[in-house]
Amino acid sequence: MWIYEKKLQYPVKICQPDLKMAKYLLTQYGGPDGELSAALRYLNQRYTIPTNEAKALLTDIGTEELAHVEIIVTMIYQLMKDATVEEIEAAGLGGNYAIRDGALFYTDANGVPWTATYIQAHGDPVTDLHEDMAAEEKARATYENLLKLTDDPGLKDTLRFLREREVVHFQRFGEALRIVQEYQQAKKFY
Amino acid sequence: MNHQDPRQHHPKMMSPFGIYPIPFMPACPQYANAYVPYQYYCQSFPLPEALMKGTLFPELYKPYMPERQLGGE
Repeated sequence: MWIYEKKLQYPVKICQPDLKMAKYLLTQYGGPDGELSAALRYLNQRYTIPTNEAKALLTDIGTEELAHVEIIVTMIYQLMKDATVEEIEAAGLGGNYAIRDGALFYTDANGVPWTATYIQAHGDPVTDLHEDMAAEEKARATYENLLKLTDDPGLKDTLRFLREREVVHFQRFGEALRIVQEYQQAKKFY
Repeated sequence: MNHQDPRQHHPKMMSPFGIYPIPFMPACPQYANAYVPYQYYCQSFPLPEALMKGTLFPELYKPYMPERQLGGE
C-alpha cells in the first residue's frame, strides 16, 4: 500500500524552455536505464529476495524511483512549455507529435518504446542485487551525460539531485548485498 | 586433495543479533565476491541541507565534477 504526497520529492524550476533537452530527458523516463525501469525492476524483485532488509530496501527504493518518474515528467513538460508545432518539429519531436500531440509515452530519447527486456529478475539474491547496483551506476552515468548536454542552472540543479540519489542507492544495495553474504556465510556454519 | 583442517573452522558465536553487527569490511574477504563498505553513522548534514543535497550523510555526498576533455586547456 502506498501513501501519495501531492508534491515533488525535489522542486523543478526550469529557467527556459528547451525542446532538445526535453527529448534527451525522455531517456530517463522510458529508456533502458530510466526511472521507470528502475521502479519496476525493484518492485518486482522484492517478492523473491530472501532477507527482510533487502525486501524493505527494494520497496523503499522502488517507491522513490516512482517519485523520480514524476520529477522527470515535470521537467519534460516545463521544458516543452508553450512550444509551437514548428519548434517541436525542429527539435526532432515531430514523430512524437504526429502520433500523440503533446502526450508523452514510455520511450527513450530516440522514440524506442520501453520494453520489459530492459529489466531482469533471477530470484538469486546476489544476482539480483548486482543487477540493481549496476542499474544505479548506469543511471548515474546517464545523469552525467544529461548534465553535459545543458547549461540551464535550474535543470542542472534537479539533475544533480537525482544523480546523487543514484549514488546513495548504490551504497544501500551494496549493504543489502553484504547482509545477504553474511547470511549465506552464517548458514554454512550453523 | 583438499583436506580441510577442522581447526581452521571458526564457527561464529551465536549472537542474539544474528549476523549483526556487520563489519565495515568483511573479516575474511573471499575471491569472486564484491563488497561495499558497510556504512556506520558518524555525522549528518542539517535536515534542510540534506534534502537539497540528496543525502543526509557527508561521506555519501559525491557531487559530479565534470572531467576536463582530453586535449583541452
